[in-house]
Parts: sequence; C-alpha cells; structure tokens
Amino acid sequence: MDLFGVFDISSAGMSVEQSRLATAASNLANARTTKTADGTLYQPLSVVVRSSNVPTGTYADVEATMRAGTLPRPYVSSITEVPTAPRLVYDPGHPDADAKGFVSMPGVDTLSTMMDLISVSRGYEANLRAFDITRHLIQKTIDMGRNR
Amino acid sequence: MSIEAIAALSSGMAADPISTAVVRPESNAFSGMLDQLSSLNAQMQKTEGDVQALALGKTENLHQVMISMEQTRMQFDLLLQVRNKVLDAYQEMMRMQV
Repeated sequence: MDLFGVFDISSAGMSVEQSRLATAASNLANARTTKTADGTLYQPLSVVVRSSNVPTGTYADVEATMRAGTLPRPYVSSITEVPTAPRLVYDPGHPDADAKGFVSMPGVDTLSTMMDLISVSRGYEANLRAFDITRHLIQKTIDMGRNR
Repeated sequence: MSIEAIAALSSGMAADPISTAVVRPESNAFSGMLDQLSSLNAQMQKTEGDVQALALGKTENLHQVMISMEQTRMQFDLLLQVRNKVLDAYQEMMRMQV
C-alpha cells in the first residue's frame, strides 16, 4: 500500500461519521414525532460501527497487512433502534393522546444527542486532518523531484 | 480532458530501429510510464464522471469526490515531474559534445 491507500481509510472514517451525523439529525428532528408510518412510536436510532479484519500478531504480520492495502476500515454494520421509554406529555386535545390524556413522545435525549453531534464533528475533523497530512506528505514527496 | 494524443505515440515507438539491434526486456521504463499515463487518463475520466454526478446531485457523499479529485491531481503532478525529468535528461544529452 502506498500513501494513496491512506486516503481510502480516511474516506471510510468520514463515511462512518456521516452516518452518525444523519442518525443524530434524525433523532433530533423526530423528537416530537408521536407516530411513525406503521403506527408505532419513533425509537431513537443508533449506529453500530464495525471494522474489517484487524491485524494482530507480530509486527511482520501487521506490516504484511499494510502492504496488501487491507488495513482495517470502519464501516456501518447496522443502524438499530434503541428501545427507550416514551416521554409522556399531558395534552388531552392531541389526536394521539391516550385515555388519560397523555401523549407518548419519543425518548430522544436531546442533551446526549448534542454531545453525539460534537463527537461527530470532532471525529470528522480528525479524519479530515489525517487526509490533509497524507496529502501534504505526498505533495512534499513529489516536490522532491522539482528542479533545484 | 483527454491525453490520448500522447498514448498514440507508443505505436510509433515500437517500430524504433534501435530496438531491433539490441534485445530489450519487454517492459522497459518508458512503456511502463505509458501504462501509467493511460491509467491516469482512466482515473481522470472517472473523476470527471464523479464531478458530473456531484453537479447533478447524484452523489452519496461529497468527501469521496473531493478525495478522488485530490488523488487525481497529485498523480498528475507526479507524472508531470517524471515527464520533466525525462525531458531534462533528453535536453542534457542533446547538449552533449560529439
């Protein structure tokens, strides 16, 4: 694997952060959804990130994996619903209110979702930085051949 | 963006009279460079398609297009440097006293 192969790894990282961002945005946007299309309550979504083969063993093994360009890349294996207790809001006039006048709202934790957003932002920036450094190093290496 | 005009030169190179006198390995440095040239051309066309898809709103993620563009730019830069070196060597040889 040459330096260009590092781009693919950064790209995979950015894709994962993008999925996490979309999920967090969906959770925030659906914080007041009382019913989904199939009539059930919206459950907050969570991204499950897995990684391809992680090289273990001696340094030589890890180096061989690096040379083959198969360093572990993260990927989104699934987006799962996190069963959360609904937030009950008293609103008797609401069409989705129960017999006692309570409406079930999704148990989206806005505060922790905002924390997720910050972590997504930092994670994406970290991948961008890795990309930037790789690009800088490649450019410097090419500049080695420039005329005196 | 097409650089096939340079690739077309390779057919003319094969009938080089010097190569008939000496036995050369099949994959010499120059034909290797031409291979690289055609692979760069393919990548440039792919990037062009990516950018077009981005403009049409058919792209799933922006970063892959940007990374592909940067990668193509740097590979072009690398090939340009190799070309400059080859040209330098050629000119250096032409200046040689006989």
